[in-house]
Amino acid sequence: MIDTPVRITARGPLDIAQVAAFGDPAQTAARLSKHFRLTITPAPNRAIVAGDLTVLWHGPGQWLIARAPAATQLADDLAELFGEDAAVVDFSHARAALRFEGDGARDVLATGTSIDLRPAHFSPGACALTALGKIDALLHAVAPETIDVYVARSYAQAFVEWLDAPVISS
Amino acid sequence: MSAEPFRLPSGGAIDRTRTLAFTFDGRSYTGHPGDTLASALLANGVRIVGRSFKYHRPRGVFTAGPEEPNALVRVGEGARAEPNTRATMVELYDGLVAQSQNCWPSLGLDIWALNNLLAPLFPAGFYYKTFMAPARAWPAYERIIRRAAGIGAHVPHADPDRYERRFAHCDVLVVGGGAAGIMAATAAARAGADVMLIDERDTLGGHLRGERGGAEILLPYLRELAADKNVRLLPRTTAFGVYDHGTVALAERVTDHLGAAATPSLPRQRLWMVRAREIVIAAGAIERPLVFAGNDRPTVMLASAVRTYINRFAVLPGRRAVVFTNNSDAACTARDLTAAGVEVAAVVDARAGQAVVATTGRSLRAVAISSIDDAGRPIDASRWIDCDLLAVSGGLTPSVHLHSHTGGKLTWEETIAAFVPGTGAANIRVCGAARGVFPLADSLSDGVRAGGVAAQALGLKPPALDLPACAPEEPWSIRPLWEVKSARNMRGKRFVDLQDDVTADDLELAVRENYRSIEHVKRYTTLGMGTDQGKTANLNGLAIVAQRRAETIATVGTTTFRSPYTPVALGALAGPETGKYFEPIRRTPLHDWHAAQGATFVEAGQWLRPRAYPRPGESFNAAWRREVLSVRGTAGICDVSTLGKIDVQGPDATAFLERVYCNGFARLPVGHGRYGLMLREDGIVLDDGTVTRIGERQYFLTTTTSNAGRALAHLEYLLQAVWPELKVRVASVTDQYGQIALAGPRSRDVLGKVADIAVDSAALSFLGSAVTTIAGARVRLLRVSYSGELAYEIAIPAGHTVAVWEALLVAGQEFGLAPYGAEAMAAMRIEKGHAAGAEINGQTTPADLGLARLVSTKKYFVGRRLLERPAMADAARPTLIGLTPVDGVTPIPAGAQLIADARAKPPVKMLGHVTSATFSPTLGRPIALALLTGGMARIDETLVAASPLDGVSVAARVVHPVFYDPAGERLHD
Repeated sequence: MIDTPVRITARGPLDIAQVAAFGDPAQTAARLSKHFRLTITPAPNRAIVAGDLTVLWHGPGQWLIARAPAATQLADDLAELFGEDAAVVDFSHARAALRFEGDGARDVLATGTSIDLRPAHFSPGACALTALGKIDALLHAVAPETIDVYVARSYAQAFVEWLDAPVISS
Repeated sequence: MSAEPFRLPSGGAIDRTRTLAFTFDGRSYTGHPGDTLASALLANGVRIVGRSFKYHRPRGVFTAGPEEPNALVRVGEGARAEPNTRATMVELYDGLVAQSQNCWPSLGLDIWALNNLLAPLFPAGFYYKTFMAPARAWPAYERIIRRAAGIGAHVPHADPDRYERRFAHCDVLVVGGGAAGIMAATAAARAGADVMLIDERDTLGGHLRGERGGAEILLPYLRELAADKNVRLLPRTTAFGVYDHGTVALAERVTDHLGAAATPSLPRQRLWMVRAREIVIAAGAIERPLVFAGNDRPTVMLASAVRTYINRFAVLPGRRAVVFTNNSDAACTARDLTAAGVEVAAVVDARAGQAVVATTGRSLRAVAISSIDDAGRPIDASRWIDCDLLAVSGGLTPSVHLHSHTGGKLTWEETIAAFVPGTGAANIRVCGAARGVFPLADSLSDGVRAGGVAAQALGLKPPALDLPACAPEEPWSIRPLWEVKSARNMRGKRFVDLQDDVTADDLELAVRENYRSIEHVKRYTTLGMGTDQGKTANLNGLAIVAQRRAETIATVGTTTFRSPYTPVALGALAGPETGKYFEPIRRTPLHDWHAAQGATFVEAGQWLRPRAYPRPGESFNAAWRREVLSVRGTAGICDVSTLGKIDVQGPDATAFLERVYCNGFARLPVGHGRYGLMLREDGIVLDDGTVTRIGERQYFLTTTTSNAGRALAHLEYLLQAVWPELKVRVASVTDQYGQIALAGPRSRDVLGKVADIAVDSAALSFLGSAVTTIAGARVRLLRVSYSGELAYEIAIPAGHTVAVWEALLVAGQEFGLAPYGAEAMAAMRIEKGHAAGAEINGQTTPADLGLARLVSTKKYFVGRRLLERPAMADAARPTLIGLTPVDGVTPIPAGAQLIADARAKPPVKMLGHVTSATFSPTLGRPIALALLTGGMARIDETLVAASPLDGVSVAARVVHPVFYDPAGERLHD
């Protein structure tokens, strides 16, 4: 059924932080936009990639931000930026990220999630909080044939086992 | 006799160049690719394939499709055997093994057929009538009845096959790949829609594949659909349920038709959950039988099935045929029979007042024909005609099942004498024969219409589409003939439901006994209750009921159509997540370290936790007892990463926690922690844990492992629904941090060696918190104790947990530091009388757990109001106490009931139950915690802990629940 190749690689290392607005999400989005020189909105299920930075919608007024490790910790930078205007939580050890590439990437993931992964409906720039099998996951359409999957660290090995299990015919 | 004596030398859609061998009831036969098991059996002259449900009458293949009521067989062997498989839907493969069912000792000689002679004793509802008294004997009767009746035997082995699940989305899902469905899919696809076209048969084409000329006219459209990348074609796939919001469940038989040749990497079946914006149902129609005496004999067969066996499988179901019909179907059946060389002895047309009134032969030998009046009563002497095949057609019943699954209404359509879909779900379009549109030309254009309407609903422009040319047909006509009454001196059972052996007389009896609702008639008579759900039976049945009640069929109405449309393998519903894949396993950052040390693991929800670290030659019990003594004597470390961890921050964080916990937090200084007790709204304890204030407006919470999700959901709910005005955010950081408990009288010495800050009692007092660096990682310390010893919990960014763990082990070596597991931890908490999951059981208040002193009287908190209910302060509430065996050695079983007297006669008054029990390595004797009515007022009483399931009762003394260091001196040091 899935006769096209899928390449799965681990992404990382990544420095990850979550930002959650206390008040109006639009204000927090505007602060983030200014800081990163991007257009970030409170619109749900949207993701923005710029260079090694990825900003993913992570719930109402909430964003998961990932970048390559730098001299300073991302959560510290953001905490300084927002002060008492938003909650910043360090997620740098909390998530494992995998990249699925190839024609069959969407088919493989469709065995585990009920969301619509057809290219026209989950196009680059879309992200979704869902479950793959029985594991919570954040999916991000990076390119037409590239989807990133973030799972909680404690489920990372179980997720690989699920991928490896006779759940998916190849 | 040659192989396959009833196979035509040419024609049909079978591959004569290849021969497939199979067995039925141990005898070897052959067939060809393209055959079903049913067609191959008929080709070999096998007429009797099973025995009926109640009367054990011989039965043969009756249909050529999914509606088959008779030819249910067991396919496969051993663990792969599948009972109640419809021979008409089993594609033949080489090496197929099939067996008849419901026959003992053999198909030919079935002793239960005696039931047939006792039939007067087995009328409708016979279970209820005959066996009701004495009620006490019913279980014995039931066992015998169950052996005699019933279809197929279950397979008592684990299913060795693999099943897959797949989710899919499409714009238009077309159910049914016949003429209407293919045209609908073509119209939708040409309009630009993303289309799925599914069909339960092995190839698309629908009923045309069974007609002369086959589905030739549809091939150009099928080729176009197959080449379209926006179209997914799924043969061998049954849509068995339609649910809300365009959700349709499909069962795809991926390798069932391949037998041993199946590719091992492919699953046996695949369950699809499809979400379609528009659904087109082109499920076709099912031919109805006619009800007359002896209508169940092999080879009485549906006329459409007769044509299918001849045209598609090149099989002659008989050599001399009679055709009996009440509709315009007669001509083409006679024509196809004649063309195949079958002698048509008579065409009995009810429209001309003729009917078959009786049959004879174990396998059909002759039929009796009479003229009938309007009520179906024979009105002249009948004449017998020899034949070995009777093709019957009582009209066509549109397959409205899927339309009805979502509550679609039905309308009675007199011109076809059947129900057709009425109003239904807005996104479901029914077309073709499923809507009662039978002539091919009309059905094709109806498919185009439905596909176009679906496209339009999606905002697409329906394309112009040329219809294929098809031969002119005689206009559809039918004269309803719901039953033929028995002729004088020619009694015989007139079956309505072949699978459940329900006769017209059974239905009459039910009406006579005043069963009014058709749903009650169904359950009383078992009409339509077999695995075929009465696909061929129901309409005839309710028409007979209507006639007996002198009402219209529309008034009587139908029974409810429920999913699944046809039986679905349980394995397909269970999917791939069975056995070790049933739940994902959650691992701590130290998991691999534990495994490498030979730790034994224990499940805690989805987590795997190290339970103990047995040394070579050491038993599990010796290991965890040694670990307890090591902590109590020197020091130990334990992986407590599974604890729930929650970050709470915001300007209103303190106010929020004040409301969430029943104990006070307002004056908790930064850099200090506190035990926190969280209640539900009804005053029952929800969870306990620690709260560390890590900033002016930021807290780090821990919860128990098992309640981590529930506690976070509780906090989220309160913030979103109850106090949305609070500026607070909560986030689970369970995965961000590994957590290690360092405990024991020497733990401070160990910590002092690795931390880069002072950790003496002045710098880090009890419940004090600090940030330090261990092994290069920034970690947070909280001096808190679960074991009752001087102890610390260390939260570490998860990726550094192993480094910190190993640094502690190295530093602790000189003191005898050793890792301890969950078993030692659990034993130490019982020694300390801490409540855990078995005590925080959704029924206990803080006072029940001996924690009343924590509950603030000065503030509002969740649970306060309902905690004030009188019953919450009832002195008779079971409260936490300790137990110790009177003899000092006998273990007290966890779960045991507490009673006053072991010799008391039932009913015995229960005083409480044992919640947790262990052997205390520290005290050298068994101890237990229990919830006991009267609680601490019973200190020093002797009770009995009785566990009748274990056959154990132990005399136990009630003691204070804190067995070890009740003053708490060790942890405050």
